Formats: sequence, structure tokens, C-alpha cells
Amino acid sequence: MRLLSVIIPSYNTELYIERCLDSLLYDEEIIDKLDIIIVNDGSSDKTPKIAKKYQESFPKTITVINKENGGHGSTVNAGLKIAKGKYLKIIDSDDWVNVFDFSDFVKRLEEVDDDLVITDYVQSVLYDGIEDRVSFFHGDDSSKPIDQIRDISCPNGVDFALSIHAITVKTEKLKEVWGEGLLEHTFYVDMQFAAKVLECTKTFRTLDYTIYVYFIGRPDQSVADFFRRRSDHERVLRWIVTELDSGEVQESEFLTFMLKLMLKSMINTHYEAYYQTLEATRDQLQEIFDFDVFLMARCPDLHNGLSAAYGLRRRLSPMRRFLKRKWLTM
Amino acid sequence: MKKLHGLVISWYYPPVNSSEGLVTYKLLKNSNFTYDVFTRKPQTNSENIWDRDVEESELTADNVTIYQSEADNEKEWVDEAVRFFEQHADEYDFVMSRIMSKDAHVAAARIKNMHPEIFWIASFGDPLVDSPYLEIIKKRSNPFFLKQYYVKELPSFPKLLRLAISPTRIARKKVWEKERIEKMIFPNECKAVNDETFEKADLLVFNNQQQYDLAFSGEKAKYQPKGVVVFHSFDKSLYPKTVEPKNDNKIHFVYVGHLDSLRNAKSVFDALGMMKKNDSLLSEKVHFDFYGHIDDMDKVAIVDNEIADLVSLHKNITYLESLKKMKEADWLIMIDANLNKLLDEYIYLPAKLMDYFGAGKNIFAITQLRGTTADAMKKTRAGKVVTHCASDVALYLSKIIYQNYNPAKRNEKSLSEYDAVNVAKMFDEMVLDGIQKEQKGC
Repeated sequence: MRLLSVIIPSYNTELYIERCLDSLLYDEEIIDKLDIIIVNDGSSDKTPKIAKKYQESFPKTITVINKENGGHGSTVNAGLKIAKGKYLKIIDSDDWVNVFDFSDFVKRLEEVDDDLVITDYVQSVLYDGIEDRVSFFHGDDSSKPIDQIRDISCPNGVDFALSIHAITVKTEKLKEVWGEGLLEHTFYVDMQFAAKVLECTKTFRTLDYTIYVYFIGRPDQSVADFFRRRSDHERVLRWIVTELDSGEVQESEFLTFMLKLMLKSMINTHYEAYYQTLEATRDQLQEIFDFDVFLMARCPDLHNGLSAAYGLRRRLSPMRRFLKRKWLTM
Repeated sequence: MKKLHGLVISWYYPPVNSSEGLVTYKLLKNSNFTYDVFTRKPQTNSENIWDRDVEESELTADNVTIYQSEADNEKEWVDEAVRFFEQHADEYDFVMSRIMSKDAHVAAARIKNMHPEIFWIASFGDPLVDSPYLEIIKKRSNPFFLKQYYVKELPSFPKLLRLAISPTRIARKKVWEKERIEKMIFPNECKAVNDETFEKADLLVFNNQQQYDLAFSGEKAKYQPKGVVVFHSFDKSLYPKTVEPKNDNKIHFVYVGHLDSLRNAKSVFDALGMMKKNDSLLSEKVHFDFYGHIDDMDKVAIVDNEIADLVSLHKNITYLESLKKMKEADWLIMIDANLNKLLDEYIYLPAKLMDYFGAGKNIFAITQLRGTTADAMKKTRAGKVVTHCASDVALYLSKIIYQNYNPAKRNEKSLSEYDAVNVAKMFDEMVLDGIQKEQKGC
């Protein structure tokens, strides 16, 4: 059995995908332990050609799926179907792994048996060449029940939110809760993925490895234009809110807590996007109004608990928008 | 081909060791035409580091005669250039003005106004207007920028903190910035010179396609028929014929040239720091030599990463020495300014890259994945291109050092496009063609 399946969603990343694959295949010793699945999401550039070249060089390790464009979620859905590793990790094709830790990490996966393994990651900001390590490991790498995940403190003091970059999850466990899978043709499904991971996890551990290098600053980065993709964000938000009503989540105080934690940060971002947009049209304002009504009806506690600043902003924003428009046209 | 005689007006020219002067030198030396170069006597006491950096030059060419002005300032220099032309006007078939500085174009424009029949070639290096590099550097080179104190005041953190919130420093920074914009960038003057040059020059020369496209976007599109691309080049005859074999088994990386706060080696040093944490014997396997000016923050990065045993910093060397160092290296490091925030594509073609091509060694290029350097590297397959991210640099340096990774499969045909002989031949044909068309009144 392969130890680690790596799904690589790829869409028009001809400039980056080699780096991703080179980092995964860096150490010959672990190549046989990997199950790399490149899911080409209908790229129109040389991405499939590059993927094929690597697949031909490592036929036992690399599988290439070529499919019509369906968005990030669809690539994970397709990859998970054929993933055969004990554990599973998702690495976007413009990101890569830290070669100094990856090999030891894969070997360590042989020894552990938790449903979820959390590792540190690096945010590599291209604009200023700064690399920030996002750290979850605090000296204890023992196995713990999943509800203790709340105790993990984050470096910047915010509540812990499970990032896709930190996740390595047991493949079979994830398949059990996968259901219809991630939303297709939708951005921001990483939150949906994290929710599913939490759903399938009984035990977890944090390991002292920095694995994922998250590359920030690609000109055409998919999540860069938030406002344009706000409907995708809303779709994911509504999915998580609906999930809160499902039997399994309602039975688990822990899952309810974690999903609400996830929602809290997402909802703030969502409102913020509308408030910051000066030229929001009447239809766009109607969108956020409709969402507000939905949230109030389904999750009144979350709605009431929105950042205090939002309450004030929401009252002031129509006047502020009016004044700014006036000023701009003067 | 008809032998033409031209006047080249260029602020920089050897023996001043500046990139623009060397580019001009290689082009003229390999051209079939003859030239008078009107330039400036090197100012060894100048504030400008390019003026100070003068080499005992062996950089001569039989077809080029140099006239050095002793003018004290740009205005005088322009006046002298115009007078010089007037004295020899009948001898010239064309005038070429080389940017850096803009005053060469100012002089050529005045000549063109007095002699509309003269064929004017205006050569652009960096964009004269709205150059992203200058926009950033004018801020970063501000002596009141907090980062400038960082190195000096690091031992005294409270002082650094006081400086951070000091209204005096902040006010001085603003004043300096404003004055600098006027003294160094001349935004309005540059725009006027740029506009006049586009309108009146007969041939507009750019050194890469990206800059060409940028130059003719918007309202300047109407001048596109006058535009051509002439690459920077390398001159094979300037490299040493033989190099001494190295006396160790290390892989030698060499960087030659000027580094500053924007074009810096921090990603290399951070990458080496990461690698050294995993291999304490790294210094037995690899060594990095940097020749030329290096930013203070880079020196801090060397100390912070504890890699002084891996890196040697050297003073400026002459151009010919630099070519020798390139020949002796195993890998040559190319570092472009990190302009990712401003530009989707890098638009400056580094002259150094061409010299690296000519040295025939593998190139490790740290640049934007789209743009001039990346395109040239892709076309010539001369090495590896990575981003400014230290982890990216570390990945591929590790592959080179530990796995004998060598992606270079040099495409000699593409490389020959940057050979000064071929570049100059193309340039000659363009000039001749332009002059013939002009004479026919096309």
C-alpha cells in the first residue's frame, strides 16, 4: 500500500507545476511510497503535456487525470476516487513541499495511525520575498482526541482554523464522509474540505515538520479577486450553514463549535467585501441583504456575534457609500 | 553594404564601467559602420557610482573614435554635443542617441530640429517615463527610510523604535522624497523628452519585445512603424581563451554586478541558510562569489543565516575581469529586481544575461516567471529560472548541489541571436533600410 496520496489540482499552471512535482519527487527513497494524482482541470496551456512527461518518467507513482474544467472541488472529487494511499494530502500545482522535511514526514506516516495529521506550513509571499511559517506544533506530537484540536494556539493569536495546507488525512476515513464531494465550479472549497476532514476525524496529532509551501503572488492567482467571486464564497457559506443542520453535526458539540468557528471568519470576510466596494450596484446590495436574512434565520447566534465593527459599519455604510459616490463625481 | 558614418551621443561609454556604455560598445565594435562617440570624461569624484567606476580600458574598437566632454553638468554637455555635431555635420549619415541619461535624446532632438534631414536613431534602455524600477528605488534609497537605519542601529533597539515613530525622520523622509523626485526623476521633463523623441526620431530602438509593446501602447501606438527591437549582446572575442582549472571539488556559483535594495540576493542567502541547517558540511560542497556592490540588508542576511563560510563578497571588478570570472564559474547567478507587485511581466532585459550567455555556463536565474529574462532563458535553454521565493531557490540549489541537476540544454541557434556579430549585423541592416526609406521619402 502506498503511504501518501497527493492530489494536485492543476489548471493552466505550466510555469509552476514542475516545481511542485520536482519537490515531491526530490528524494528517491520515498518515491515508491507516494501516489501522486495530477488532475488536469481542462488546462489550455502546456500543463497536461508537462504532467504526461512526469507520468512517463514515474509511471508507478504518478497518475494523470484529464478532465473538463469543473473547478478546484471537482479535481479533488476526481482524485479522491482513485487515491490509494494510507493518507491523503492536497497540494495545488503552484505550491510545493519543503524538501528538507517532506521525506522524513512521509517516513513518519508509516508509524502513525491517527485520522488527521497536522503539520506547519510556509506562506511564501512573492511580492516582498518574505516567508512566514504558520506553526501549530508546540512540542507535543502525541495522538489526541479530535476535540482537543480547539486547544491548538495559532501564532497570530486568532482562533484555530484548520487550513487545507496543514492537513494530511486518512484516505479511507475521508471517503466515508465524502458523499457528493466538494462543490464544483466554485472557489473557496478548501473550507468545505476542512469541514469534511473534521467530520471524519476521531484522533489527530501535530508533527514538527514544515511541509506545505503556499505560494502567494501569482498574477492570475485564483482567489485574488474576491469580490468578483463572492457568489462562490456565499455558496460555500450556505453549504456549511446547511451542514450545521445535519444530524451528525447536531449530535456533536465539537463539530458544531468548529464549523461555527470556520463560519465566523468567513462571514466577516464576506460582509467586508461588500462594504469595501464603492460601486456596489442595487442588485449586489440585494445579494448581501438576502444573505443577511438567510443567516439571521438559520444561525441567529452567529449573526448576533458578528464583529461589533460590522454592526456599526452596516448602519453607516449606506450613508458612507452615498457620500463617497458624491465626492467621486464632484 | 554601404559603409555609413554615425555620431553616437552617449553619456556612458567605456572606460566608464556602466552597463549601458558596455552595451553600446559591443554593438558599435561589431558594426560595419564607423562611429564618433560623443561622451563624457569619467568623473572619479562623482556622486554617481557608474561615473566613478572606471577601468584601465582595453575596450577599444578600430571603427570607433571617442570624444570626451569635460562639461560640468548635463546642460553644458548637451550644448557641447550639439556644437560637436555642427562642426562635423557633413560627415555624418546618422545620429544615434543612447538613453541613460535622457540628455542624449535632448541633444539629438536639438540637432534634428536644426537638421531635419539627419537620420535620428533613438535607443531606449529603460523606460524614460513611469519606469517601475525607478518608482520603487527612489523611495528605497531614501536615507530617512527606516530600513536604512536598521543595519546601523540594530544593536540599539530602543533607538530604532524611537526612530520608527520620530516625526522628524518621517518629515525628512517626505521632504527628501519630494526633492529627489525633482532632482533625480524629472517626471515632467522626462515626459516632454520622451514625447519629442517619439515624435521626431526616425528609428526607435528597444532592447526587448516587452518594452517595445509597452512603449507603443496607448497614444504612442501611432509611432509603432518606427520601432525596432535590438537585443543586448555578448562579444565572444572579449572572453579569455583559457581559464585556470579550479583547485577544489566545490560547485562555484558566481554573481557579477550591482545589487541594491530592490535587486538583492536575500532569497539566495535565506535559501543557503535553510540548506545549511540541514547540512552542516555544505561549505565543503559549494561556494558563492559575489562581485560588485551589495546592499546592506544582504550583508545582514548573510550574518542572520550564518553562511559567511559559504559566501565571499568581492569589490567591483573590471568588465574584462568579470568575463573571466564568468568563464571560471560552474553556475552563474542572475538576479532581477523583484517587481512582482507592479508588473505581471518583467520588462528589463539585463545586459549581464547576455554576457552570461556568452560565457557558456549554466545560469541560475532568479526573476519573474514571465518576462524578458524568463523568455530569453526559455528560448536558449541556458539554465534554470526560479522565483524570488527562498524556498524555491533552496529547492533547485539543493537539486544542483546534491543531485547533479542540470536542466541546461543550450540551444546554440537561439543563443547566436544574442551574439554581438549578429546583433550588429541586424542593426546595420535596419539603419541602412531606414535611411534608404527616408531618402525615398517613404
